[in-house]
Amino acid sequence: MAFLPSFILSDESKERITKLINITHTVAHYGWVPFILYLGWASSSNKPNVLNLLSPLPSI
Amino acid sequence: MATPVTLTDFSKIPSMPGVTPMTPDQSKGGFWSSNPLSSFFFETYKTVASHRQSLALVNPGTVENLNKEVSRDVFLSQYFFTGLRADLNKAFSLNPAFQTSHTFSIGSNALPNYAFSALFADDNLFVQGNLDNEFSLSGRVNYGWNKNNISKVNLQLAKGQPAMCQLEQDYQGSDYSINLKSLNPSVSPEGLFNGVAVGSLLQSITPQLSLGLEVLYSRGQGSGAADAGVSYLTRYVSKKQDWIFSGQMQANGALIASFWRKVTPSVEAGIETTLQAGMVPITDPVVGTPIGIQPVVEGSTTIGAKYEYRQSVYRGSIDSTGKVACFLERKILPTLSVLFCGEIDHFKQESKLGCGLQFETAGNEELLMMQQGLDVNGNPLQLPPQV
Amino acid sequence: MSGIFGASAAAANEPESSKSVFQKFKESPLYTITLNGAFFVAGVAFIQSPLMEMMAPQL
Repeated sequence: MAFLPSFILSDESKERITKLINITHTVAHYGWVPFILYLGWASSSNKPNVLNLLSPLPSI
Repeated sequence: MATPVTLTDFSKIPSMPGVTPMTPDQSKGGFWSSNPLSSFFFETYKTVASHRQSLALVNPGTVENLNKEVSRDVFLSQYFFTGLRADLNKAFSLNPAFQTSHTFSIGSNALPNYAFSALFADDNLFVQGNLDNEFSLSGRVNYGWNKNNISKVNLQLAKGQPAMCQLEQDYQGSDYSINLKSLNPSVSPEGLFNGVAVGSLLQSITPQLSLGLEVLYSRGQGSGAADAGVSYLTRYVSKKQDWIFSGQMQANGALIASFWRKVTPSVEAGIETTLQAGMVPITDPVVGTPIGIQPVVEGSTTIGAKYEYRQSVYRGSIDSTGKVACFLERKILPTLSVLFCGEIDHFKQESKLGCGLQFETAGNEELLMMQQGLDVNGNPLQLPPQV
Repeated sequence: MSGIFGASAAAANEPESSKSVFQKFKESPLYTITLNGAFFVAGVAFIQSPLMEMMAPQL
């Protein structure tokens, strides 16, 4: 963002953008695997519960 | 020659020849096809297109898969691990595919002690994520817009390390493939591109032979100068598709030649030679100061074979640096496979060993029965399941 | 491979002048290229030969 002249982006908004990037980073880091689990859960027929999804043991 | 077009009649508005459907006027000789300049391009395009059709070319495959048959199918370096490992895969559904996996490992430098991964795939979406015990994430999304276009995103996030993000676009035409990718793209304060950008094109020349080019541009975060290079690629598939030769001349001075043959339906063999040219400074033996540079070439050749049976896969390879390696994978039960891999480096007197177990479990009853070779009602299946 | 052989050859023949033409060739980059090229050709010939088919088990 630094290449933009300061009258387009003030220092506060630059800070806000950096914060936003950091939040996106964290969300992607910890939300990615849960997101896949949700996709799979939503498409599976028997809707396994969270414990079933996470445990390596066979579940019926 | 060209009659003035009244804009109220939309069917007479000329469109781009060969790109958009032609108006009735154009097809029977309107402005664009009667104009000598545009008709020349139009006719040339039509001649080239029809000539291309008559060659009966096929898509050459992607640049990424140029020597896939040798380096990923036959050779075992992709599968090799050391120490002990156990994989517990749990399938929840087959279509769309949804599977989770827990991997435990000890005694390995590369594998984390524990990793959880999840995979979801349907007809045009593929999503995969892997999170290990140190909370480093690697994720991947592939999305197919249609049968020609695939977008891919690779993401790697680890604590205390810069994030890695790779964007990739694959286009597969009737007789060519284009791939564009970019690693960590960003714009520097001066408005210049930062990161790595790679563009490649692979074009079929005859139904057997394809040639390609890969252009790489990279620029680091610092003030260092940008780097660019061109690689040349070639691939030849025999008429019966039972052998493939591929060659690459890379921008960094590496020359890779590989050859693959399907010997019988269950046996494949491959050989790959890599020559890496580089420059090393020569130092004065007395003073120790550099007095010049000399070219050096490092080379290695690996030959390997893969035997694939219904219950087991064996891979073995020998290379010119004195390494002999093997990888065995055997399904001892429908739900349990054992892995063994070993490597001996005869010149360095070193060896590596890896043993592993792979369990397949199911998240629902139907899949559990299928893994045992039974259908939902407990009757044996006609064909053994390939889960 | 050539590095190992090259190093031992250099150690055995300390004075530069006593190197034979073959040893000079052995230390040049051309040696690696020729050797690996020969390996590749030999490997392709082996894979394409009936010997490879004999190594495939008859099931």
